[in-house]
Amino acid sequence: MMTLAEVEQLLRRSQPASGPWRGATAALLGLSMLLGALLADPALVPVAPEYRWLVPHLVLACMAAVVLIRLAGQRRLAGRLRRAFEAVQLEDWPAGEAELRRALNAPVGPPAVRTEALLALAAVAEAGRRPEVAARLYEAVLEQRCGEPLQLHAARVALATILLRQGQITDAVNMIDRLDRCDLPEALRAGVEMLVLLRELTLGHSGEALDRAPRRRALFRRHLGTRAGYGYALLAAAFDRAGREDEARRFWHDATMLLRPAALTARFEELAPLALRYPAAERPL
Amino acid sequence: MSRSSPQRAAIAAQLRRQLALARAARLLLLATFLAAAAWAALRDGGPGPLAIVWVLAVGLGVWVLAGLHALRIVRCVRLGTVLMGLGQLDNAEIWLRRAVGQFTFSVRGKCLAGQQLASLMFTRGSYDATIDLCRELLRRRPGGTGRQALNARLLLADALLLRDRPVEAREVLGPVDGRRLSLVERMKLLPIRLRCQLAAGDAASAARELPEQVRLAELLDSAGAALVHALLAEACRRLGRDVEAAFLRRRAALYHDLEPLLERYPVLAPPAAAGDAPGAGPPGRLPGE
Repeated sequence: MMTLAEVEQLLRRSQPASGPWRGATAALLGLSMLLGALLADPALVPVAPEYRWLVPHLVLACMAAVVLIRLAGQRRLAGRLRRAFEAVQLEDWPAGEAELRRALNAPVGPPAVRTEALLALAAVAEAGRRPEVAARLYEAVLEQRCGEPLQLHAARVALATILLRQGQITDAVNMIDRLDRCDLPEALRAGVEMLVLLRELTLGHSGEALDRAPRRRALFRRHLGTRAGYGYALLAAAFDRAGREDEARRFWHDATMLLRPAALTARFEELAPLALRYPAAERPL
Repeated sequence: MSRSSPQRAAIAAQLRRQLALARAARLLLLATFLAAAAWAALRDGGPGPLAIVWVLAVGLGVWVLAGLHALRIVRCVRLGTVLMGLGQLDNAEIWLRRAVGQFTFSVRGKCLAGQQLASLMFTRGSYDATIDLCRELLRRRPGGTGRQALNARLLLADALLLRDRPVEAREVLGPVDGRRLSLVERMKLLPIRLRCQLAAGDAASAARELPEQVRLAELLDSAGAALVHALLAEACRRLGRDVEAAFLRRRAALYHDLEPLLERYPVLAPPAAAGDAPGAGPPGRLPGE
């Protein structure tokens, strides 16, 4: 299981070196300068004249080797990250963690790729019930602002969720308010609505949740795919608190059609009473 | 929007011409480079002191310039893709056709442009144009299953199925069988393969490894997940596995409205009547809605 210290180390090690002249670029520049010097003065390197023609070729071979080694490294990293992302998608957390640890143990070049890897590692940490580790990763992504807008948005939503669950209500509410005020496309709005719903449930404002329930249900259904199950379960919790058991039962049924009760309660502990009170949908598969 | 036959033929012919030109130019460049290297190595009966270095340096320079030129094509394709994502299909087509029409040494860049154009035609409902373009992309490698070839294959099979040509679609997917696919590729392939199998009346194959297929479907977006669930439900219905069929149909309805799917995919038509069965509607409607 990851610790905060290990995560700090991975954050440091995965950071690409700054400046234009680094690693393979510096090596290629040095070799090019040497090649240029040899072209200008073939006697620069003290070797017997009959072997002098060989020296530039060796330099060229070194340049080709640098390029090939770099390409091989990039291909290895891409393969490792692909396996990691697949494992995370399939919720094979140990495999995902192992691949991500290996990948992030060395500089990861393109910022968006590194950010994707950090977000995947944060998902692994959340699944392993290490919210403080996940929060640190999300904070790092937001502090470094090295990702694409969609990645930064995902990090904000996930961090606000963790803060809310950890009882850091003021910070969480501020973040959620900012997200709620943003003019977002519907696909992103669906995730934010689920977060706002969780806030309302946490703060005991389930009345608001009931007012917005039809719109939210439609949004979740349209944009969240299987994750809509989490949204339906939270809506069930809101109706349950309002004493409207029929609607609560119906939403809980829909939620458990998409996701098993264990998955729902593992992600949102506040759903545990519903799992005891309402029957889950039967799953013949 | 459907395209006339001459228009379609012109687009496909342009792609064919450009691909042939790019391949010929690359061959010519390579031959020139090899000839120059051989001349430098063998002149005066022995290796020239620095001639080979010069030839290699010039070759490298040309390669870099060709790469930079190919970047222009890639930029056009990227812009076209973004515009397509924003729904600006006319503007997207302008950029993608520009990318297809421009000369480049990069066959891969040209194929990418062709594929995006085929994808645009598919989005517009010009399935015949999609078929023509994808066939051009696969012409040189009829059995190819690399990433680009696989994408072209999937698009082609999808368009053929929508044109009610399931036998050809199955043939197109033939080389994919037995190939190790990534998760994303398996997700893309799943609905197309299921449609092929159901269109061919092979419900038993479609319903094989049901839990794994459902697991994969759960990773798709709402519409994709609904389609796969509806296809699996139909396969189960044909096999008389009514409990599973009802469960899958109910799940499909939870993901997405089924009416548009039934309209688009005739292979799903039989469950239309079953869709009225209790528990097949959208998620729990609230009183007064």
